[in-house]
Amino acid sequence: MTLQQISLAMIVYNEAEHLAQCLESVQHEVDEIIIVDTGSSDDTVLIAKQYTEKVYSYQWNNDFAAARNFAIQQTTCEWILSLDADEQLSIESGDLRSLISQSEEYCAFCLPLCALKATNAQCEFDRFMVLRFFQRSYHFKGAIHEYVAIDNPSAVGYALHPMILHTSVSLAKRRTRRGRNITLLKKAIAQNGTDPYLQYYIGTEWLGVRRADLAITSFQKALRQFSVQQAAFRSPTVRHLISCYKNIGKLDKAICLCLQESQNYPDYCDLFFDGGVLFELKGEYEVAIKWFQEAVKLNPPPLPFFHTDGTNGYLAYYHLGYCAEKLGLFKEAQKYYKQALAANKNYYYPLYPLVLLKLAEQSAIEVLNFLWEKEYLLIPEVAEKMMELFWAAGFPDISIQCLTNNISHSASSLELLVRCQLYSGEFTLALQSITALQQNGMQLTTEMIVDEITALLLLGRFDEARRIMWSLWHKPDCRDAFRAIFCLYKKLHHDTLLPLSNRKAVATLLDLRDRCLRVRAIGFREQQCFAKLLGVITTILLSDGETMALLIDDLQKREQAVKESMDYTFTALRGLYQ
Amino acid sequence: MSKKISLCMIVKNEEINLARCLNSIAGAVDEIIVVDTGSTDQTTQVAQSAGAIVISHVWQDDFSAARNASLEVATGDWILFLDADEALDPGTGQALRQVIEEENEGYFIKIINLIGADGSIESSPDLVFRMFRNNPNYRFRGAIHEQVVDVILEKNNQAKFQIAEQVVIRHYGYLNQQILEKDKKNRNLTIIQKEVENAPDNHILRYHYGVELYRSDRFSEAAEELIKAANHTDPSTVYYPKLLRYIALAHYAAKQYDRALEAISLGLQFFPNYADLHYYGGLIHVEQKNYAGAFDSFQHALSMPEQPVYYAPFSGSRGFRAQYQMAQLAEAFGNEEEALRYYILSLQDNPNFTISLSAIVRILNPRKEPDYTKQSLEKLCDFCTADAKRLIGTVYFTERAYKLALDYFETIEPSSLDDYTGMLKAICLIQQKRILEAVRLFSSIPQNHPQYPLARLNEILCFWFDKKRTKVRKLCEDFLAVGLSADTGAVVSMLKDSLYKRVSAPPAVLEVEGMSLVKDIILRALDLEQLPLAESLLARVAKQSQKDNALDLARIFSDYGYLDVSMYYAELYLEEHADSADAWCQMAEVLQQKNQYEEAGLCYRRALTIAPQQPQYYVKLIRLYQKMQEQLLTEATHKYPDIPIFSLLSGEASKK
Repeated sequence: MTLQQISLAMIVYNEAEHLAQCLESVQHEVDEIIIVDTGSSDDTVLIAKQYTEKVYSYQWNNDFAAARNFAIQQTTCEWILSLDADEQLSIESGDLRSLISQSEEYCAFCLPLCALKATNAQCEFDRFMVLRFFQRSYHFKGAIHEYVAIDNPSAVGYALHPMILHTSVSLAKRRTRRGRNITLLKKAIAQNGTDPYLQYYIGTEWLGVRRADLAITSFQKALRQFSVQQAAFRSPTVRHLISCYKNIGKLDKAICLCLQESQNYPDYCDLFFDGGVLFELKGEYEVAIKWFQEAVKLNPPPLPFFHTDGTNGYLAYYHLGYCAEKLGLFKEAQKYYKQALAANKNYYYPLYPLVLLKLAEQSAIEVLNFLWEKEYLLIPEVAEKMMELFWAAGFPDISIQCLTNNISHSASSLELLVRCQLYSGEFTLALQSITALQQNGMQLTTEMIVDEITALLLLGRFDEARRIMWSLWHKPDCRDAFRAIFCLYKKLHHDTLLPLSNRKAVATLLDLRDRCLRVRAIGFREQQCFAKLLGVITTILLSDGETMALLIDDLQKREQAVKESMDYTFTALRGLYQ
Repeated sequence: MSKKISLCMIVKNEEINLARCLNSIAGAVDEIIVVDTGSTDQTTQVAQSAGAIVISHVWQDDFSAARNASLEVATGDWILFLDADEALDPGTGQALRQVIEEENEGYFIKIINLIGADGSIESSPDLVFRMFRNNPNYRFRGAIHEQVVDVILEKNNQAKFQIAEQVVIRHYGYLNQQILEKDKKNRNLTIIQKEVENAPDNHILRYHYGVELYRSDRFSEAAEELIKAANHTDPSTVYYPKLLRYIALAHYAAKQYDRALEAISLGLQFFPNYADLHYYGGLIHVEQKNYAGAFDSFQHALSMPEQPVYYAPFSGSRGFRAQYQMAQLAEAFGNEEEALRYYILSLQDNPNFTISLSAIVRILNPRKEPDYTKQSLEKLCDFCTADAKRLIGTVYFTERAYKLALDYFETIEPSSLDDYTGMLKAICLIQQKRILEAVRLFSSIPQNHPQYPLARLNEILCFWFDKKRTKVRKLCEDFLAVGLSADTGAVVSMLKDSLYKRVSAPPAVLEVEGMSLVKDIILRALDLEQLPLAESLLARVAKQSQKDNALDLARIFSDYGYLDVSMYYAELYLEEHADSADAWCQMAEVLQQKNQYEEAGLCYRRALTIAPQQPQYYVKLIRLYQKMQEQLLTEATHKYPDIPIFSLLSGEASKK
């Protein structure tokens, strides 16, 4: 057995932010690291030296290929891996060495370059195949968007693993890079106007700086040139062009393109997904559903194709659920959302509309149990979102049960926790929580102070309430909140009615009223406390003509909301109820 | 062409029914053959005196064998077969001979099945094969649910059948206690099960087997067998609609609602105007809380045309029953006007459908609006017979409108007054404070009479309501001495003790029976405006028993306007049942009556969040918000007359 050796060959320029992360991910997968610096002014070289001795300087001459070929020249191994500093290698499902030993006939490999979109990993990423792993006899060509020139296409293998993950870079950095690239590309195009690859690349750069209008022309030119067989580049061109049309609002043009290309690629699930999204945007939900249903019937496209993960699975099901909801098919919508969750447990966005649908037909406790059974509440982001959802739907008592003790939670969710404790009638517990948070060094928001005072007022601890109220007065931007609370206090404790005309103060009171109406106290007694508070708020608001109008308006809105939720639950029953 | 008809029957112990049957065919047939399978009564004598040829046959668990025995000796050109509990409708017998034509081999006849008991008899039409040409090849087949039609078709595939127009058979077998007893059912089931095993390809048999399983409450098995039968049965067969309907019913009874709906959908594809299918679909939708679906189904059922006889339509499925269901839907959504309209339609379609009558009375609220109720009802119906008066009196009694009930009871001749109604009348007399008359009625009931306990109890109540301590004590002690159940005894003791201030006995723990009595007594006490008396009785009930029944108590007190007491009990109930939507709703209603709107709103909302599938909570909350807006607007226009928006909104609101 011959020992195959792998060299990492990189060119860098001011990559101090990401270089370490990249090298960490790859250092054990290669036998040699070559880093060519093209003139960094930050700590790039310093960091590089921590991982390898072979760090070289190179005079940048606006030629990427030349720089990379220089890096290759410094390597001593059989195989070359080419990465950028803002990339990482992910060997979860397979590494480089096994790739070489498994397939003897290939001289080069295309690996998936995955651009993560959403905040949660393993979901919604774009997959673009790039030739980055090759035998040292090959070289780069092309001053800008350099590529490895291989004359024998059958010598190129496509592998799903390992994956190259592209981490997101800061907006500023992206802009500078793109600016530089565009300049270079324009120059190259001036010399070679018909090269479709150049057109494709400049299109992607324009798209990156949000000039969809300029990107369109480039993509159109590229599309005319690429043959159907050149799927690796034609497929992203098509999809990017669709995206551009969508961005500038030309949905019909995008749809036409979709239809056309689905003739060329009848099994390309991403196309059907894109089509579905377009019809969904147009509001033609039945047609959209048909497109999405086509997408889920298909497998992911063969490796050269540009593919967004989930377009034939969880993403499509999510959209199917959304469209079904729009058509009032709530049972179907639930089924689709469940399918989305089953297809990818980590893509939990479908959970939110699903929970809302469930709340319309099940008791909140049952929905909570469902969440626990499926272990969704063990994920902090989900737990916090669910907390917000239950609170918004008026179940503070259930909201509390979304948080588990041994997971740390964000400040905003801890704030919400206290509020939910208060509005479940657990006044003392809420006050204890606030004290504990203060002791842990948390800075209380105005809202939390209002909650604290409310709890004290409801418990009849007026002196303590008054003390904290003054602390509100001392903060200039909390004065309006103070005015509202003070009014409340005066009526509750001294049965005196103070005028309240300040707009913002009135808003605070209305806010407080809104929260009281979501109360779900453990017992009738506690609920009566809130009812009393509501009564006082109403009395205050009735003392002024304008605020009275606001109150009447609020009642009307609530009436409307109940009617809507009735329609939602029972679907309109012509004439049976008014 | 000779049209000699032989009536062939098999009988066992049918001395009463047989006479009616044979009388009805007098002159319509030329020969009567009766096969007796072992009667021990006067059956054979009845048959002989009607001029029948009587043959004895040893019963071998085989209906066909018995029938075929009669066919063997028949000399007519045509065979007619009836059962002893059937009879031809008067005047239709003559049509038998007239309807016979040379080209036909057999005839289907319309049968009307009478179901139910006195006061509510329903008729259900169907079509059955009962007359065929006498031919030695045409013999019955099948030990049970014996068939001859398919035999005829086998022997003569050119055979044509017709319906014998004008002829009507009436079937009395399902009236009162004449429904099949359990052991008869099991016997039939065993026979047919064996037959099906022996002849797995006989799908008519399988259909009957399925029906028997259904009647024996073995629903999922029934569905399976029926589906198997349906898959091999021609849709143009006369019983195909019934078969499909049975499949739906079997799934429904087995609570397999989705499958039931599928079966209904399939059935409607074949028979789109089959009202029964729409009706059952509606019931299933209600079960699944799909009220929109239910609405549509019942509306469809109501719009169906008159059903062909071979659909064997379920009476009321396109009339009073569907209308009743529509009324129930309307009530669930708080639309009393619409509900009333439908209940009235239902009652007009079937004046014997007392459920609708009760519902109408309930909505009219006879206790609080006696005159309005009486007038409205009298516009609808005439209560002239004793039966009708008894009925409406009982309905009023159930709604606790004692005066109205008494008004009707008193118009009934004492001789036509049965014991039960008499008791109700006496209770009404108590509630109208005509104690002497009541006591007289109660004390006349002897000890061995089934109404005795009730009479004694009410006699005690006569004096209890008047707070006659000594008399009550005496009567209670006497009654206890007779020997009562633990619960009833406890209540009687409580009645005795409640009139005394100092009592040594601890509060009594009561079960369902006792609490039910107590609640009834409370109710009647409140009707007589005796709140302290009611409360003193309740004080003698153990706290836990009170708590368990607190919701009912809350309702009773709020019904009679004692709002604070009602709230006390509602809160008591909520202590242990914070997840009872009904309890929160009850609390909310009382709070609303006390004009505590904010409090009421929170409670309605709470009920809604516990049970989002109940329409009534939404409706109540919406109405509360509307009321609150109305009140605020009135106050606003009064307080701020120079702000135009209020008068504008107020004007809009009053137009709604």
